[in-house]
Amino acid sequence: MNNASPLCVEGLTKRFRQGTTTVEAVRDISLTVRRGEFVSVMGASGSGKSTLLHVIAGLTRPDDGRVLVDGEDLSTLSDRRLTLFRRRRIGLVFQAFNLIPTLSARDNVLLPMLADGRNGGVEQRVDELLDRLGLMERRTHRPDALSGGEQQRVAIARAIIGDPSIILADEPTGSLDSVTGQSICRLLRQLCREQGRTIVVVTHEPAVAVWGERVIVLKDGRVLTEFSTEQFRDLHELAAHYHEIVGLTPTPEAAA
Amino acid sequence: MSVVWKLTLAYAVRHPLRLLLTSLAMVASACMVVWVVSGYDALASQFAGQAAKYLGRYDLFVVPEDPADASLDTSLVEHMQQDPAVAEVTPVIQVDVRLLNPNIESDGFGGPSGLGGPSGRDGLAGFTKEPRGPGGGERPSGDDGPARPQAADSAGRKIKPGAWSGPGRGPGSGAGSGPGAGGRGGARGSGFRGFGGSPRLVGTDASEPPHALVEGVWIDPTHPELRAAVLGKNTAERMGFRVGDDALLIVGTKEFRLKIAGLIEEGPPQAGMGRTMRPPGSDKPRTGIAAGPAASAIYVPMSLALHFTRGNAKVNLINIRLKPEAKTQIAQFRAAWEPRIARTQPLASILGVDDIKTGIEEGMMATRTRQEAWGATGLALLAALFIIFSTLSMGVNERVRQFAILRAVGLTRAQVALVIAMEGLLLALIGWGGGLLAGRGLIAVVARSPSSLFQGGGATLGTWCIVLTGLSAMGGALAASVLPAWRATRVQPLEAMSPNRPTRPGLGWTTVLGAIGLALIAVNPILVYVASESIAGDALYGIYTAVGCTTMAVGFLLLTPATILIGEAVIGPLLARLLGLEPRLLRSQLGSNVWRTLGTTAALTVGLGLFVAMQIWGYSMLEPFKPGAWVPDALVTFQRGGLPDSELAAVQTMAGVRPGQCIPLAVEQPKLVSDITGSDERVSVIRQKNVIMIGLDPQVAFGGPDPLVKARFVEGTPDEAIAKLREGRNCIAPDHFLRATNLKLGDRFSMVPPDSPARQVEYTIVATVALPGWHWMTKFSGLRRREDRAAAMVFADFATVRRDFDLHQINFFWMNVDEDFGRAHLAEVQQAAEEKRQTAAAAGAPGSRPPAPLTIQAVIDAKRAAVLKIGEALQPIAERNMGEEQPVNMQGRWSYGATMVGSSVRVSTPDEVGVFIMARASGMIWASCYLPLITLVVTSLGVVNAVMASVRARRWEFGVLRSQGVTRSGLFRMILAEGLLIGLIACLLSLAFGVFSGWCGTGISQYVSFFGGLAPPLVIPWPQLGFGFALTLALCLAAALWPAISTSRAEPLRLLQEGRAAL
Repeated sequence: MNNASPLCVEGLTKRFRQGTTTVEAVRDISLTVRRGEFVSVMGASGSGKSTLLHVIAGLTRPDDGRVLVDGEDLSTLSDRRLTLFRRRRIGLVFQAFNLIPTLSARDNVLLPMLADGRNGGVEQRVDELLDRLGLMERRTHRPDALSGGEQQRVAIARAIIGDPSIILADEPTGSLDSVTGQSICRLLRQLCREQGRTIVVVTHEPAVAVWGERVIVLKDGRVLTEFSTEQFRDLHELAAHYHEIVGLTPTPEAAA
Repeated sequence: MSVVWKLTLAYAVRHPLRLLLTSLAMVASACMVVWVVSGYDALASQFAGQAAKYLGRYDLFVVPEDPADASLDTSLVEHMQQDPAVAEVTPVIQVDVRLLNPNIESDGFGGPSGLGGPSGRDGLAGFTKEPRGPGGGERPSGDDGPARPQAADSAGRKIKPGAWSGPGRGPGSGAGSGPGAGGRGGARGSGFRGFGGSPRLVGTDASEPPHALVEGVWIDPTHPELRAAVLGKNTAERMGFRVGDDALLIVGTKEFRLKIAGLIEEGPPQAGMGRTMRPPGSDKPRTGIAAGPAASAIYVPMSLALHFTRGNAKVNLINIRLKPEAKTQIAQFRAAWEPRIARTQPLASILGVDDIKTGIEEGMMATRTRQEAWGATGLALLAALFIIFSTLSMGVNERVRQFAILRAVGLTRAQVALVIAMEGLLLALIGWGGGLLAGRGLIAVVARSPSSLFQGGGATLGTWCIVLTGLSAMGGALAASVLPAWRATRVQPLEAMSPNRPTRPGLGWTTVLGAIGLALIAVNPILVYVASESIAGDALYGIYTAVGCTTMAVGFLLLTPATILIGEAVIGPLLARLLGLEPRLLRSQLGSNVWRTLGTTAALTVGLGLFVAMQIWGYSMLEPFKPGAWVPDALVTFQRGGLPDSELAAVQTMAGVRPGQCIPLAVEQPKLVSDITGSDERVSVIRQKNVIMIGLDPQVAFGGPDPLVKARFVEGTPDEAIAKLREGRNCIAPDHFLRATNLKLGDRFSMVPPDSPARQVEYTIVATVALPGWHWMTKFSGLRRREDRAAAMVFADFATVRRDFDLHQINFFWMNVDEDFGRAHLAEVQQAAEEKRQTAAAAGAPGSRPPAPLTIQAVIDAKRAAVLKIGEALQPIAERNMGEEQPVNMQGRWSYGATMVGSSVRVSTPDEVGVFIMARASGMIWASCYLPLITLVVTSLGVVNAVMASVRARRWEFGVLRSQGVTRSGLFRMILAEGLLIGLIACLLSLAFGVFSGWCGTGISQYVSFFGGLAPPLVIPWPQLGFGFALTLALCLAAALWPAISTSRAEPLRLLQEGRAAL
């Protein structure tokens, strides 16, 4: 692991075409995440937070700006190198779990290893991980036999099995009930604290964002503000603050 | 618009590419039916138009009914002449002869060839390249006249292919379209002349030709001394004759010179018409129209024909022309005469244009084309069934949630089922209409070719064609809709709330279906190999086709899901490793959507399975006909005259002949006294009324460590057999002869010497041997002296056979060639080639290349060269013992399968026969495989559909894989692997289906086929099957290529987003 910030985003812009019009989903965003930091990215629907995460993950390429993960500029990588980079340095957790329905829980966890052709020697590690996440009994089950929480835990296991530099989670509790969602957040927090993992979670729920150390708020594709979660005594204060920011602060265009 | 239609159309619009691909496959499938059925219609219309031409200026003709006694009561002629409606009654003699064109350098026989002469292989090449004429037989009996490459005569005249001298279609040639197609043999003299054979000698005293005179003059019956003859125009062109030319006629052992005085038009060939027939309720075959006027004929005055045949020929045809006023009452005339003609002895029948039309309908060409039309329809129906099934299954899989919502909002199960049925019918309608249009266009394009079958108005879509294409499309669609519709109706409204689940089948029902499938598959082998002994042949065949084949087909269909799962589990990991993929990523690609995969695999198996079955059946049936290792290196025949015993030593000590490995043979082909083979009940290749008796020195032939005839003894031992053969009338018979006759070791059978019909000789069987390939070894070598077929090749003592069959001179030798002599000639061949190359190189000739590496063919050629060298050395011996031409079957004079050296010596080698058989048989087998191969190509469009559907359904999954680090290349290989897996499983299923079908096919052929009875082993021709498998895999690979490229090029996010949208 090098000394560079695990994640540095500079002037990131991403546009999408919708028919004849072009929509800027992300506009000139810059941010840095420190090693071992748990950052929440918040925003309303359509604020560009998922797009930001997808660009950071290298699932799509930015139109302007750059993303540096461990000092590596993703925009300079070929598709193959980018894929390999993603495989080894980035862990992804999706809202819809995105497990392969035909593979068992264990094989889903192993997926990045299988793709890398280095599944040998990690058997014990996978079992330890599954055990730790409470999935040992369910390891041979296919996704459709698992509960939502179990599926998301499998997805998290898959994200960390390759020991990535950064874990990116896109609405990880979006498909879960509040209790299960909280357990998932607790798990992510534990990973951050106990293993020093760098985590970026995209969410629109204050109840999830509160688990992070820092919150970055997006609106209309731009970074509106960011703040530390330590300044709030509880979730409600954070939620109120968030709603205040999102609801009261006009966008530059609106101001103009 | 009803909700059902709205849903049907909406789904079609939503998946335009799938609609296009499925429609394309349906169109191609229907187009195949249009092509074949229109071909039949065009053929029928051409023949029907020519039916009247067949009779020329006559209206009716009388022919003998009994093929064994092909003569007529001539008093009929006088009685008919007195009928007031009759204008002319002409008695005719028609005789099989051999006609040579002495104006052409070649005598019609292939010369010594091994070193570059007009070799047998040249002949073969020409033969295999030559398109078959209508009725061109497809039997290994070689019924077609050999079509040699174009050659020029000494005057530079081009001779059309087929201008060979030997008789063409022979008496008793069958009507089958392939091995085992059930040909029926007739007796000598009842056969017909086809393209490429010698014309028949027609003796007639008619004052006018039967067809229009084209050139020269008609024969003058009052001046036979002129030796004038008239030829059919086409025959003359084919053989290179012009008016004024001399012609050499060989009748039996005599040669006669004739002068070609004129040429006339020819009637259509009888090749497309039925030949001997067995009327319902009759146990005897009848001649039918095949005994009518010969299409290819050389006409001479009646007295001249009688002279040529030494007065032996009898009137065997009466032509009748009615007066103009009576021509409208042909039916009444015929009805009036039929009872009288039926009472004549020998039996006769009166035939006319209607009979010819019927004959065409029942004829070989029409029958075969009709069978092809039905076959194409069946294949198209099956292809349509599985293609549509696959497409509909994809639709059901993808729309489980939609159906659940529809059920939730109130659609009945019937309405849901109707949506699926309508989708199937929509595809069928598009396929039907498109297929008819495409087929019509294709025929119109082809019809522009002057040589096309469709030329001249044949390019129409008949009712028959429209009905059959509709039947295949609609029938396939309806059958294909049943299961998907049923599955759609099983969707519960509650499923709208749950995500789509993969439809991976449970092991339980897969196992149950597989077990039922295996049980059904076992029905056919049990029927053919176990129950066959207790069921009569015809009934057995009926049960075999109706029950055995059906259960086998259904059984394999039921076995398909299990094969998919097992194949995926076994082949998947291997394929994954081969493509550098993690096996677990390929684990469930097919099994997860088993219905779709089942439809696609079954569709591919329709074509590929039939291809494999035909190849296996064909090569298995061929196996007993391939010359085995028992055959000595060469059989030398002296066809004219014969050698006295005093010449024996000269032959046996000839350079190149292996010392002690050359024996004279006493050969005769006597009739069996009784029908011990059951040929009256059912004629077949081994159920004949005669055998070939080979008298030989038993010790040299079978004794010692290195016998000349290395036959495997099935019963008895060589030493015992040799001792018994020396004792007198004992013989060694082939094993199949005992099976066919139910004779056992120690049993006797009697024969009639051809030259002493009043006498009988009886031989006891003392041993049985396996003689694979004896049929073809005797076919071309001239060992069949009296008949075109024989029940067996039987060995006895030389002296005994000579004495019993009055064989005073020696006409046959079996010999092995000295290996050193062969090697020396091989060196000579190579040296000559090298010198030639060096000379060419020195002269700066372009393209001079170093000698090619020694191939098996080169060794065969060298060996053959050595044998031919011996043949040439035997020439002086043949010259000084020249005499009358010896009786021989027609193939014994053909220019392939053996080689003539000079005008008497004929040399046969097993290699030459083997090469010929393989070339001929391979051509036939491949010709019968074109429909299955076209079906395979058509159904491969279904693979495109299946892979595209699979890719579309899994775009989200692919997105996940890409997001988790699977590279573009990895994704590309994964999708290719899916296509390949479908292909490999189809290959696996097809191989199993082909092996079982081929095995059962050879089994049933033993009871019903003309070529049955030889107990062929199961032969799997891997190189040929490899072609089919490679084609299938290539098609599957090609089908997966575009989906693989487009998916692998997509951005991971796009895959995720599109995939989620599709869910």
